[in-house]
Amino acid sequence: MHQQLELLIMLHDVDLLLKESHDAETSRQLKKIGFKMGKTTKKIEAARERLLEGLDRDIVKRYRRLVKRYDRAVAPVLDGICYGCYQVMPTAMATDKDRNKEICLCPNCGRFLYWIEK
Amino acid sequence: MDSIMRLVDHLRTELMELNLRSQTKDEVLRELSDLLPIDEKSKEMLIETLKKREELGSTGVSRGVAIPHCRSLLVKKLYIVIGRSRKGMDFKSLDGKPVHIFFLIVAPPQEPSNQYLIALGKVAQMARELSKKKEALEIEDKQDFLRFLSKLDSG
Repeated sequence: MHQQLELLIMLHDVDLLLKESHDAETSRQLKKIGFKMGKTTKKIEAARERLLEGLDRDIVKRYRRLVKRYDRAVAPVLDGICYGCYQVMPTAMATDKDRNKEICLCPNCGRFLYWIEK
Repeated sequence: MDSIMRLVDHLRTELMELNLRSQTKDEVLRELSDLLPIDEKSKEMLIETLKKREELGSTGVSRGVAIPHCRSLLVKKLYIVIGRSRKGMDFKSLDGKPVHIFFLIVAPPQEPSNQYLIALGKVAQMARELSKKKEALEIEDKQDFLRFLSKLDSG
């Protein structure tokens, strides 16, 4: 897997975790289930900063732009479909090649792509 | 939605370890993640996210049960991994007691029906029942354990 894609995936998952911890409705549901969500996210935010430092500046810029627009900047590709915009990938992209060895963007929505089925 | 989701439909014997060897929180997250059908690299990344989730608050929900969980791009569907440690281990549980039964839950972010939260709720409910049953620590066979959980799931 491309090292920058690794960082992007981890950044995405950390952002999702932070978002859920800050979201009042999700927190309420998790508390109802029995989980106690701490308010301190400093350690996680520090880890997030380290991930951002490892990413190329252009990728960070694009990531931030995509988050602003779509909330989530990285989308998985399953069965040749981008699960960000639900559009089918062009046949030229659906090859046997390991697409995760490079940084791919969805030609429709522009999100970073992570190919789950290689 | 809640009523139509059956937890047992997501439980598999290949995602079950009834004799966990781990002694620590990090070790058990790894041992449970090892059962997931994902590559090594993805596993390492997923374990990092699970550890970060634990930093928000222990998922050891008391009564000897822990439910480590997270959403991740690295999985394509909801997975529930079950682990058991007869001896029990310190998972920094909310009640401070050792944890014997683990349910690791991971789900993709793009899940429209939100089965993740439903699964978490159902597992927590099952955990309450489980803690009252001594068979939970006695059953040897994975299929028997699955049948035992099925009974709890159906009420």
